[in-house]
Amino acid sequence: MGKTSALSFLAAALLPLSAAAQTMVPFQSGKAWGYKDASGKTIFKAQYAAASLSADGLGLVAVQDGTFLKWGVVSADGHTVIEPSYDYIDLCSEGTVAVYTGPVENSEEGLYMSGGQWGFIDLNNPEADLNRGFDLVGPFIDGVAWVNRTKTDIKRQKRTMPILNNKGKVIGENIIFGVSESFSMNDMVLPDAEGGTAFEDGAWILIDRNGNALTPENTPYQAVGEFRDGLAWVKKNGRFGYVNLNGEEVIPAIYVMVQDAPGSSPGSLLLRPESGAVRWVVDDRGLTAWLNEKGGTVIGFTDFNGKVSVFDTVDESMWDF
Amino acid sequence: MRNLYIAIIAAAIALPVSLGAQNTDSLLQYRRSSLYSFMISHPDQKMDDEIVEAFMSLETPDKYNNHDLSVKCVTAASKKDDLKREVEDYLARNDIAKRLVSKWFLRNKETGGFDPSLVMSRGLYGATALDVETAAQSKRGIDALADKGYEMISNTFIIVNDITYVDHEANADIATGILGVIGGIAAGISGSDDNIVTSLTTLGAMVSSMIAGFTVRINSYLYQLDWNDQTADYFYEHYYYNKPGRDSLSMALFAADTALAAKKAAYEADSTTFRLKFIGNYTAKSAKPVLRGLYNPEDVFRKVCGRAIDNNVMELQKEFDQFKVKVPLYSTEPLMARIGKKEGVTAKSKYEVLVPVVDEVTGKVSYNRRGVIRPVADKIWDNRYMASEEQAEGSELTATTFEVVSGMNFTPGMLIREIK
Repeated sequence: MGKTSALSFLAAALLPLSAAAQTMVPFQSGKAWGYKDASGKTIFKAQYAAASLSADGLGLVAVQDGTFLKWGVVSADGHTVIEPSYDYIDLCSEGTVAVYTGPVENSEEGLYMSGGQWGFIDLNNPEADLNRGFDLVGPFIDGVAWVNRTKTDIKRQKRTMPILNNKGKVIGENIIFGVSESFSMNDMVLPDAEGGTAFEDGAWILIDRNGNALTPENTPYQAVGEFRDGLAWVKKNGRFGYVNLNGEEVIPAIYVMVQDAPGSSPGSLLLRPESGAVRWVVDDRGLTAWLNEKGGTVIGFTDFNGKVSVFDTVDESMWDF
Repeated sequence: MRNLYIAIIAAAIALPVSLGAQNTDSLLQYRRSSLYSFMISHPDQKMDDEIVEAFMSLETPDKYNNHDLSVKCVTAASKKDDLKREVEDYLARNDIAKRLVSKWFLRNKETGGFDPSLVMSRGLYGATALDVETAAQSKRGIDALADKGYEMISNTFIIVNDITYVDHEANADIATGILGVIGGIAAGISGSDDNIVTSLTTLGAMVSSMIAGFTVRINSYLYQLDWNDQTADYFYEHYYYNKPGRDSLSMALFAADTALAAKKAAYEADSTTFRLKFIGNYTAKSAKPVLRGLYNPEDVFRKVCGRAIDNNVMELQKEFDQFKVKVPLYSTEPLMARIGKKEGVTAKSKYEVLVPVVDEVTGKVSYNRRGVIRPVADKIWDNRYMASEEQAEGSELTATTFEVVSGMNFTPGMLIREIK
């Protein structure tokens, strides 16, 4: 594939994601990037060193600043929402973005942020800071976000997905700016040599849009997970549990392992109630139970390890009917 | 009583036809088959956890009622390509057919009592709870209920997806090697050579290896619940009783009723009355995913597995008439139905337009052909998994538009079914 056709493919491959984002299509002219709308009309001429896939009608753009890039946010109506002045910006979600100020490392491992500070900006009021000074932050989901308030060496990566051509060859990268339903906290962390990710222990609390702490500030969590069906796993004193969107520890952090936590393996059962959520937990005895979003027992503790073999006669308690 | 039920059936069928497009979802639900799908995973293979998580995150195909049971994944060693015998032993050993019936009637495991509300909600849109309660007071009423649910319950299927990872190490290595060559392109993308190239070389190598290598082979086994007159009669006569109320008096009366206790025990001990029929199977490898619109590796796994399963379901529908979906015409001016590429609609497809006819003697429903239609080539809805994220052609539509091949007087709500 020649360079011209490769770039044509890139333009096509960089089509945006959501309906709102359909009005912002990144395009490249020479080495510079800009945005067009769905009809091909230019919104921003090619002037940026990088441009992301759009999210919620917004695009992440970068300008060259010496040997570094400075990042800002532009909107589909042709306005610059945040001037390119941050060392990185990410996690566009629910009208907020996470902004980073600090070192951007460029090593054999890849491009990552570590040692600086993260905070949030409310895009409806970008002049007003919405909390700064965090070691790491998660995105706002259902009006709440996790923030880590203690220093770690966690390497926060730039989120990208490769662009492949029709033959499966990698010809570039998409910069990811938005947050999908399948977002995982692991998406943010630079994988190790084996492709795994490891969060160091931090001091995580849950905050609302106003920056109010929803979980106790004096007993933060060592590690936390993303919210699914209104529940997120948490780790405290080496034990796991779950909190809800109000910050209530509805399944206490007393278990040696819980569903979705690092090191857990998916089981055979899928208990999907009409409303709420069910998660499995493992206690000190190695027994597994399934608990609901209020901490109530759906299936009591059993030595069933969660995996059903095709040669098994499944215990009656495991069946819903 | 029988006439009453025939009237209810007729009303339930005729109602959506007369009400037009805004109510076709009701008819769609009425005629939907019910599906329990689970997977066989292979813990001795790479990527097994990722495949299981991807499968668990997939919803039941939207042309079927979700009839899932709690066990959604069973494991097996990956020694054999064909696990049909093991699957059938598993299904029989665990009384899966009986559990599907239990789910239809929302059996309470504690009391053993049944509840017709699911049958009602999936089928009796024209009937009231009182109608069903009245029917349950007599043998004939129960028979009428059986007639009512007969078609729906007999259209209960199981798909067992044996998903194996196809290890394309060689392809992955090729993809990784390519990264050395693309530096020039990457530099052009970024305008900041060092940063992005380094990032691409590491992150790109990891992700592209996964992507280039991530292929699954799925062998989908299709079974149907063998729900016939004999089975239904036996079930209603020997096992069926309504759930007792939760109040203390009802529970006390129930506890003292030895006949109900005997029915409960007999149902739990019965491992022969309820059976499954093997319909067929289909095996295929997943296609290469289009990565546009995907955010992370989990999205890729979900898309690859979701598309591959949808493809197998589509092929099984083409092969086996009893598994074909019947969907209502959404509108007639223009002719539209909410099926698309996921259901295998192509420019060469043809569909018969069906009119339900109620047998006044048996109360059962059959279908007469009213005509034949075909899709308009450039108006085929791309409803495949994540097609809109991919911005595939046709994904912006909400239904497929058809044109008439033969017949006339089509009305919204009439059912269409693919013909060979």
